[in-house]
Amino acid sequence: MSWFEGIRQRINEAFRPGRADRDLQDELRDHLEREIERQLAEGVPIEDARRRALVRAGGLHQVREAVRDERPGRIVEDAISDLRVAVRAARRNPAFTLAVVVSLALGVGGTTAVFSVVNAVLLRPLPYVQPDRLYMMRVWWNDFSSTLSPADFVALEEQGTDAASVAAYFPPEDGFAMGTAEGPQLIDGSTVTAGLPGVLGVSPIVGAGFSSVPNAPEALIGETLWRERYGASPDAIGQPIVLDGDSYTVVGVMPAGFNIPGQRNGQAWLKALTRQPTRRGPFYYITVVRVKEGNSPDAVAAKLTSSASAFLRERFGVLPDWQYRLRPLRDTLVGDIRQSLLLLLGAMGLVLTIAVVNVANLFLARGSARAREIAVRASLGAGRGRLARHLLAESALLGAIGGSGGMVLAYLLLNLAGKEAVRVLPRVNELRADTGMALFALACGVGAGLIAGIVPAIRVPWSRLATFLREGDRSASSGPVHGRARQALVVAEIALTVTVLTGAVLLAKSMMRLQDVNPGFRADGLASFRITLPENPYDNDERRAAVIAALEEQLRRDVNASSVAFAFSLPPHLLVMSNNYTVEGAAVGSAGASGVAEWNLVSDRYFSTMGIRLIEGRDFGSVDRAESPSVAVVNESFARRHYSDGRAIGKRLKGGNWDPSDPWTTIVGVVSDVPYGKGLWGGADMTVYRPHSQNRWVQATYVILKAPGDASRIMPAVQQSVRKIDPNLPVRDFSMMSERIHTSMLEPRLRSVIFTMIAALALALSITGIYGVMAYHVAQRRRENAIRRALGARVADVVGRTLAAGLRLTAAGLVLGTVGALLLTRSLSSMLFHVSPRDPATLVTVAVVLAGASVLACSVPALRSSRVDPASILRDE
Amino acid sequence: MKRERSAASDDARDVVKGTLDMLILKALDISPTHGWGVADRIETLSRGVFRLQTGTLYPALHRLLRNGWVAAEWRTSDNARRARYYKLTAAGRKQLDEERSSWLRAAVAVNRILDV
Repeated sequence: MSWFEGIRQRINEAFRPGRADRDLQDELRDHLEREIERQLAEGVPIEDARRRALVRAGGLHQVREAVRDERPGRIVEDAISDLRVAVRAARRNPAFTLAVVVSLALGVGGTTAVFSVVNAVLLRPLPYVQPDRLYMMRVWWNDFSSTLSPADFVALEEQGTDAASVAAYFPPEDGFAMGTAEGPQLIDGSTVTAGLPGVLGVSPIVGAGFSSVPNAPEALIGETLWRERYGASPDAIGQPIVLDGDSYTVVGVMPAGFNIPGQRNGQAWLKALTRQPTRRGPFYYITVVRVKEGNSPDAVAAKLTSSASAFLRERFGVLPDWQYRLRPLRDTLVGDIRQSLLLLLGAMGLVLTIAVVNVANLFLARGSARAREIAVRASLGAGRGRLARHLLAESALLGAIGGSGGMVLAYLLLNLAGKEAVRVLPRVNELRADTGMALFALACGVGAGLIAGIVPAIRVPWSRLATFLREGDRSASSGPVHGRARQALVVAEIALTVTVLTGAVLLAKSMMRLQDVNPGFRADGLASFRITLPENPYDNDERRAAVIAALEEQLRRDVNASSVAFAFSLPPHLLVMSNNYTVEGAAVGSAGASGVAEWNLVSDRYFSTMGIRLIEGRDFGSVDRAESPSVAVVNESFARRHYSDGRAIGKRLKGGNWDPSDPWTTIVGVVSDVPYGKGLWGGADMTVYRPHSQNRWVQATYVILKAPGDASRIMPAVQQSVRKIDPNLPVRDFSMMSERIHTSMLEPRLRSVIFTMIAALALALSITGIYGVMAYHVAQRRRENAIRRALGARVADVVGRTLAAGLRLTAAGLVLGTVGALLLTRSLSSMLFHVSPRDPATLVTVAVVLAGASVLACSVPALRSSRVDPASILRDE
Repeated sequence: MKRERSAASDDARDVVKGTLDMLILKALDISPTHGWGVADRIETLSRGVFRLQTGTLYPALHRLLRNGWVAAEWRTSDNARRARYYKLTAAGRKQLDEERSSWLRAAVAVNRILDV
């Protein structure tokens, strides 16, 4: 019989119990019959023959077990029978089973959810060809950096290197208004340079893609749009598509799910027009570089810098005080999220550890309760290995159930968190509940179950089974070693909880401090939205100015707006442009000679509408017209940096352009700081404000209005107003300013909320752990306590002793955990806002909360210990 | 694997350690027979010194089956009764020869020592 045959046979038998067993039974019956015949032949009376035959044959019922041990394929059959035993054991003790399964499900579910996110965001490769060769390129001036400008791009195209290919796209946040029969429909998309699909290594599934004809109005569309609008027909190629009022020719369909880096649901990509730039800025080209094989990113950056530098200097007189730097594309997309995610994963890992410890503890407690049963089975001939296997099979089974529960939990968590997380996390659209996730949860569960099960399996007092049976569980299970193992586990649980809880409290505290930060403007009653004026028909300054003026008037009338303003960038985190500048009189090479600041273009009454305080000088007004002297307002940080004497008014600077013949811009006012680029967390940077009236090229702008009512009233009214002005103009990104503040804090808030949930989970698990051990402790000492009571101990003494035992464990855990927290919270520092990672108040809070919770957990069993009737217990024994 | 001995009845006598397989093979070398026949032959040939219990015999038979030293088949025997017959395979015969010679060598050596 081959090994394989054997296995197959055993599997068959396991499910059709008996074939071989029946054979054996027949064989044994035959044996017995022959034995009886012999007895009869020897003249033994028939009534004795059977008995004698049985004696001679030996214990027939043990033969079956022994024969099985000799058969091949034993393992499979054992596993199945072990599982049967495990299922029986699990059914017999539903409370225990539930406790184990829930502990594991919580730990595994959380871990799986966090791991799925980590996998989607951090681990899975970007959906491009050889994504590790892709880099994001930025211009750096000392410690400030920015995206590239069209001028940079022209320079790179003309002076490029063989070592790399370069492509760019514009800020994709805005999307396009697609002309349809039912009015404008907003679709996600962006303008890209013709080489972008090639650099990413993705080609259209239908169509040839962008042609080499410069400035031909061409568009690539997404697969979804292709299905919905063109019925997935190849005839879509060559059709016109109207985006933002202009008509483009569809030249290709990108594969399903294609997105440019950082985009979520792009459906249209326009070919960027190549205009000859007239100056170095403005900087809004997000630039992707594919470094060819055998080149280092640093060398490529240096090469590109030197070739573009010569070009820019010759064309625009740009000083070579800058350089390009490359950063792996994945890092730029994932950014600060990486740390948050790893932190959450770490915390979740700790919670899973707590869950495992908890389950190990449950097994231990139950193991002692079952020790008698095990001892009996062992003495009835069950092998030691077999018993250990039963215990492990049971933990594996419970682990698998817990893992499945965790899988469901993870799925729910991801769905629940998905909506909020999408606004914060990059690449979350690539996140899916898949088989990988299911397997992870299951493996996690079984692994955790097994680890938890090993401890009690090796704790069964094999060598002292006989003593154990004689003396009962008093001597064996509450022995010092056994009890100490469980106590150590509880101490470990508490210590881990302290660590997680400390992190959660620190983050929550940061969040509260962040919410208390003064944003620098008054958000109450302010609504905002964005409009983008398409080239057609808004192709000149007059038309743009006219529609803006008309819109303002309409909003005042229809929405009852008491104040309307326009701005290029919005606080607290919607920075659209940074620009470089030169301060008059600054020494060559000094910071003032070539600084970069956040650059906002605003209308009259922007500061008053937003409630940004004018510190000195004047606001922009009707005197600032296109042809009047160029003026600027700067923020406090700017004034402090460049005019230490505090006299900024009347000083002059040039923005974006170093053409010596250009006129200087005069500072006419200083306003208080407002954050644009870094949000409330990062605070304000230097900001230069310039009037809309002197930058009439602006096509896209935020509209801010102060109006009574809430979003549900204002938004439809705004939409109506805009439609009256131009039915093809969509209202984009409508939001109350208070909502924008909220959104800007979404990431830290989400981090804090998730961490708090994790900590609550840790707390709940470890409190159950303490409770379990204390309840067991009390049960073990029923007799002891009864004797004490019988001998006259007061109830308070008995309760006190129990409480003290519990609190000793808690105290040990607190000390260990605080040390651990002090070591680990350092890694939190970058996520803390105005809170020290060693914040003493936090440590004290955590200790008090845990101590309190643990007193509660201990007091229930402690009180129970007092309620026993000594007489009845002593009688039982 | 260590096997627990059943509570032994007084008249069960174990074979000499390590000789069980050889004795069974020898019993089957005479002619194929069923389990009871094997036990009976060993008891008879040893003049009642060795008496195999089922708990020893049948696991051993299955071990020999697995090693391919014996083969088994259900046969209708004498008085029309179905019984499982075991017979020696070629490999079993070879194994028996090997065990026999190593046993003889050992027995001679042990006797020499005991005779000193």
